[in-house]
Amino acid sequence: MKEEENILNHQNEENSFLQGLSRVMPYTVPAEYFESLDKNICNSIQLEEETAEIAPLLNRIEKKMPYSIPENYFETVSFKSISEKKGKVIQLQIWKRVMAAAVIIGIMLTTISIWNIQRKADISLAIHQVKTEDLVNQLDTSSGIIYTNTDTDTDDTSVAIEVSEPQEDLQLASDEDLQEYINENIDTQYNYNNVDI
Amino acid sequence: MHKEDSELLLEFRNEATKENAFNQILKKYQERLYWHIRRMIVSHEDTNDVLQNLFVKVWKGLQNFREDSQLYTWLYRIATNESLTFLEQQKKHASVSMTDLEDTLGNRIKADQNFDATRLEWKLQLAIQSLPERQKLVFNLRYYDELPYQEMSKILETSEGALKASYHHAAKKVEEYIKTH
Repeated sequence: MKEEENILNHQNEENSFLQGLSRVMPYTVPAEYFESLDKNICNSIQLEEETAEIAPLLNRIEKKMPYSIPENYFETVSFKSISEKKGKVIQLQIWKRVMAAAVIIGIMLTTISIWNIQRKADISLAIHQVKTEDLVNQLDTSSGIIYTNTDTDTDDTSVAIEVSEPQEDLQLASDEDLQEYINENIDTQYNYNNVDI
Repeated sequence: MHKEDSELLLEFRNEATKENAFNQILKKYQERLYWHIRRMIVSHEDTNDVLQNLFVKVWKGLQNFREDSQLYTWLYRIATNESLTFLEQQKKHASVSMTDLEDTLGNRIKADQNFDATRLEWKLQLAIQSLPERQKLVFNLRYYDELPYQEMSKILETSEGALKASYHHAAKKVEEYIKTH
């Protein structure tokens, strides 16, 4: 009798303890899980029936992908790893652009150098092709000195130089003026002592 | 336990919690997106590269995501476009035809360290690679990802009827390939 009383007391104690606890399940489920559950089940059944009708063999194959992937691959992917890697790619792209610009500049400089060498060679060749008479005529028109080839019967290209008459303004100048002009410019102008006229 | 998309998007729009929210989005969807891309591209290295580009684009574009579609639909659409662009670039770089590319992808499958020609899972992969790109996409989204046609329609911007027909043709071809190889 006493034992029964003890059991009853113990049960009452337990009940009062449990009654104090909340009956709400502490587990969490994704939001709208129950709203979409029927749709998901229907979709799976529909897919299985559809596939069974078209290609029944496919329902007998395991859907797990057989490909190999590096161990812990999904644990290593993060915002940090992506931004670090993509940052490097961007840097590499900038480096590639700098290299490409350097190559282009190099090609341009080489092309300009080759073009300059070619041009100098062309000028030199053109000068060699000009006749002495043409050169004399050209100089004749641009200075007061007359160059004449004294020996027209030969191919001798040496020329005799005649000085043309002094220009009018020099003719009109007095000896004193000329001497004064020479004295003033003797240091900076031409050294007349070295000229054989 | 992953948070709801709406909660993550809200956190992403707050500068203080932006990076953490992005990491959670990445963790929530990376595996599904990885396999979606890999089924198209086959190589792990290429898939990894495309996946990273995808998440760079998500980081840049998520601020302007308008929630008129579900987040995973938007992510799948970007993943699909990135995969197709990658395959297109490969064709251009190597000047290979579509048939050559299928052979290349088939060879990549055979090069996997786990490849076993006698097993149905591997035959299935080879069969999928023999499909035209569009059918391949439809088959993968329906068969592996088990997406309803309604969702697929939003990702691929194609009518549900056309998608059903496409899956029907693809599944027939795949079964035929497995039976004859």
